[in-house]
Amino acid sequence: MSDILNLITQISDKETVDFENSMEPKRKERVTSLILTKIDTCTNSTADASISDISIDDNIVTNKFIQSQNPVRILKKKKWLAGILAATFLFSMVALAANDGSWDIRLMEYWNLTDTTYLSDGAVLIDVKSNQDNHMSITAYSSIGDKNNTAIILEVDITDEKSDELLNLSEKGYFLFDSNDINLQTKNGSPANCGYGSCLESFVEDGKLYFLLTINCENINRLGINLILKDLYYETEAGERTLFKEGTWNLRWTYQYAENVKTYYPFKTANCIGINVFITKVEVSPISISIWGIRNPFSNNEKDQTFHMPDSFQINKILLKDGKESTDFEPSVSGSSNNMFLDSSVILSTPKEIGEISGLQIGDTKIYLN
Amino acid sequence: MDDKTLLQLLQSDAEAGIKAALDLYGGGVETICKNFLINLPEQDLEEAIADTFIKLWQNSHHFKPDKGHSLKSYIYSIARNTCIDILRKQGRSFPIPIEEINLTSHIDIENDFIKKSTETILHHTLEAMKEPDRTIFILRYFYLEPIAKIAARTGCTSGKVKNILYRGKSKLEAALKERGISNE
Repeated sequence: MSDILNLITQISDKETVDFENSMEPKRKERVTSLILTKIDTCTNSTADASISDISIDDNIVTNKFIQSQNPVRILKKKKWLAGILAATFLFSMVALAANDGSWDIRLMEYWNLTDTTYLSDGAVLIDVKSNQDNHMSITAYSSIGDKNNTAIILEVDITDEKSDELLNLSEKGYFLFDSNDINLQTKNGSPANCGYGSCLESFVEDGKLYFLLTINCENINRLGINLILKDLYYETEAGERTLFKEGTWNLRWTYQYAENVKTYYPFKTANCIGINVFITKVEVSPISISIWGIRNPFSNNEKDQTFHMPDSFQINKILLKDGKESTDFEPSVSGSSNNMFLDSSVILSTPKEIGEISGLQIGDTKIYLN
Repeated sequence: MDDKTLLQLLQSDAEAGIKAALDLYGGGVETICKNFLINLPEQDLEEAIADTFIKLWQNSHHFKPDKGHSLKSYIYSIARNTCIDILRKQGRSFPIPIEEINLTSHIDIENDFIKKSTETILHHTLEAMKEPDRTIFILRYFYLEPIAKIAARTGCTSGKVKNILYRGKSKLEAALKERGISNE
């Protein structure tokens, strides 16, 4: 049987009635104060201590590029960064399509990045600490992404006996917050004008709890990110949820990405198994290479009109600076073609420095990137 | 203050905009949240009211007053959805007796076609209702207003309100059955 409440949810916002407009004055005062406190913790402007109970002034930091950091610490982070870069890329491609929200973790496993320690261009080291609440604080310490996507590592620091408990629990389930409000704001504090998606996944390594936060939002660069995380829960695979740490943790900073895509305009014709394609643009990032081209319909060797374009217009090899050639990549799920314009991408199996790549082979044509 | 001015104020000066929105719609949002969160602590109620206005502020760029929707109904919908989220999170059911909301037939609202058809039939049924029947129906089933309060507001007895609700529900079920949307 169905119920009327489920049905009536279908009616649109146009169906409404009038209610009493005035609120109880004391409640109005409390609610106003509550709203302003919440909004204040969301905005990028300097926090006003008289409004906000939580002191977060110290959290405003300047992003530092990873090159200036301690090499030992960098090495450890690089593992993550390579993984999150890959995760970020997939995140944008699957457009939040996964129902269980665990694409990023799966991707990290898929890439098998544990032994990989490449310095990925575009990684930004940040050091944003939350407030301390109930012997727990959270640090956002690295982010990577581009102008539309970012992935951020959050490290949870627990200083009481609960920290030992983590080790016992980590194998059997996962951690989640009761609520994780993610607000993106422009410089003047108003909400960002982008329909954004996000995903927060926990994992434990070396007895430490981490969260991988991925955010997808058009033109995210220079936006203020404000996280309000409330009450940390532990959930078993069977779905039993227990409160692990009660509290509210706030983090905020301004997102800034480091340019991690290099664009080339080769303007060279490649022969792709019987089709001549004029390569107009190549974009190289540490984890992917994309190519764009225009099909030459007048080329003499194009006879087979039934030719399946997406299979033919693709990168066959990557040419490296040291003279070697690599086929260590997978075709991307993206890519399109019509009668004239073509594009396709590959995702590198192992992230590479952009500078390592000297060219590509498309069809049987080698194209050097200068 | 009209909707457009309020939206502009929310975008240019959050604090002034929120205060103005609270003046205009605070009472309505409070009533809706009270109806839905009747058994929850005051703190949850005030959080829900606050969250409604924060969501309004966050989404003020997206609401287009020229598209035929009123800001009031938009805010009330945010309040309603915020409360439903809270109930779901806490594993609570709607504060309304099951026997009152049950329909005698099954409707597969997961099916997109049926969902769309149901929406149309609902609109037609509501349009065809006379006042105060329509208002009573929406107040009870969309905003969970208690029957006693509906009775006081409309000047009907509680018995009459129940009767109107029963009639409305029956009309709706009949319309759904007639169009093959529901089955026994």
